[in-house]
Amino acid sequence: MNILLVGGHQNALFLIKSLKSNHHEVAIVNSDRDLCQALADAYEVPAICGNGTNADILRQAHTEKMDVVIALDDQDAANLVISELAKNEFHVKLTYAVVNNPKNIELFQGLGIDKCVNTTRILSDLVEQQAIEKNIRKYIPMENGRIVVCEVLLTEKSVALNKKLWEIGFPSQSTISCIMREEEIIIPQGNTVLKAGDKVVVLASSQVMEKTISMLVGMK
Amino acid sequence: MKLFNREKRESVIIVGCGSLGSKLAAVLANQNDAVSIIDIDENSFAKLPATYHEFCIDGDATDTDILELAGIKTADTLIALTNDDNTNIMVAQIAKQYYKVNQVIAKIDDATKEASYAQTGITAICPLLLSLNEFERVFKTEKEGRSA
Repeated sequence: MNILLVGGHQNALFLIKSLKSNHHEVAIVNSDRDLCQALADAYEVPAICGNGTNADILRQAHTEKMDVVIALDDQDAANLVISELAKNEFHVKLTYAVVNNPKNIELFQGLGIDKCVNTTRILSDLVEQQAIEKNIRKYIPMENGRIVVCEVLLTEKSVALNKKLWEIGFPSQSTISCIMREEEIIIPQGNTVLKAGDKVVVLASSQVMEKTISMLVGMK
Repeated sequence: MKLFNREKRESVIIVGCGSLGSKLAAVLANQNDAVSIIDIDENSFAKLPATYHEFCIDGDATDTDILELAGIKTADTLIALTNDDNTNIMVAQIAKQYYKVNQVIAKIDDATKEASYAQTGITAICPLLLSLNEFERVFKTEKEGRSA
C-alpha cells in the first residue's frame, strides 16, 4: 500500500520502520527539515519538507496516489485539517489520525477521519484489561467501547456451574455466544449446562458486561 | 407593552480576542447583540473597550465544554478569528456539524485552504484575498482618475 505520514517525530520514525519492513511504500511530509533529511537518508523514502495542513505541500507529496494518510501532529486541529484535505481534496480512501484529547474522538469520527488513535484511551483500556484479569482472559472493546466481547474462564468456584443457561437469567443486552469445552466448540442454547474449565465467550453492552460476568464467575 | 414586543437578541460567539476579534465584539455589543468572546489567554481581554459588558470566557475553544459555557447550544452565529487556521477550522466544524449553529464564519489566512471549506456550509474569510481585491480596486480607481 502507499502510505503517507504527515507530521510527528518519534512516532513517525517508528512507523516508517515497521511499515517499511512490511513492504509498504511510505512517503513523509514534515515541517522539520533535519528530520526529513535524516528519514530520507536512512529509509530511502520520499520526504517533503513543509506544513502538512497546506494543500500545495500535500500535492507535492502526491497525496492523490495514497491509499492511507496518517496524521501524527501533536495538535488535534492540525490532524483534523490534514485528514480533511486528504479526504476532500485528494480523495484518499483511508485517513488515520492521532487524537490527543479523548473528548475529540467522537467529533473527529463524524468529520472525515476514519480511525482515531488516542493513547489515553488505549492506556485506560489496558488498565481495564489488567484489572479484570483474574478469570477473564481476553477483553475486546468495539464501537468505542459500547459493545464488549469477553472470554471468561469458568473455575470450580464459579457460581454458574451445573446450571442451564436459561436458569441463570442473563441481562437482556448480553448473550453467551460460544462455549469452548476442551476441543469442542458449543453454540449454546437455553438448556446448555456450564462446566468447570469451560471458556465462555460473552458479547454484551458495556453497561451490563460486569453484571453478566458476575453471574458467571461470581465476582463483584 | 413594548417590553413583550421586543425581538430576540441575536446571540453571537466570537473565538479569539485579537485585534479583529475584540473590535468585532465591541461593534456587535453596541448593536445590542448578546456576545460571548472566548480566548485561551485571559490577558487578551484587555483589548476590549471599557464599554464592553458582555461575556468573556478564557479557555480552549476546541473544547466542547468551553463552547457550551459560551452558550453554543442557543447561539445564532459563531465567528472563529484566532491566529491559527487549523483551530478556526476545527471550531467552525464543531459548531456547524455538531451543534448545528445557523451561521458559522471562519477566518482562514491560508488562501489554498479557503476553497475546500466553501461547500461545508461554513463561510470562509481570507484577509489576504480581501486585501488583494482592495488593492486592485484602489489601483484601478487611481488609474482612472489620472487618465480622466
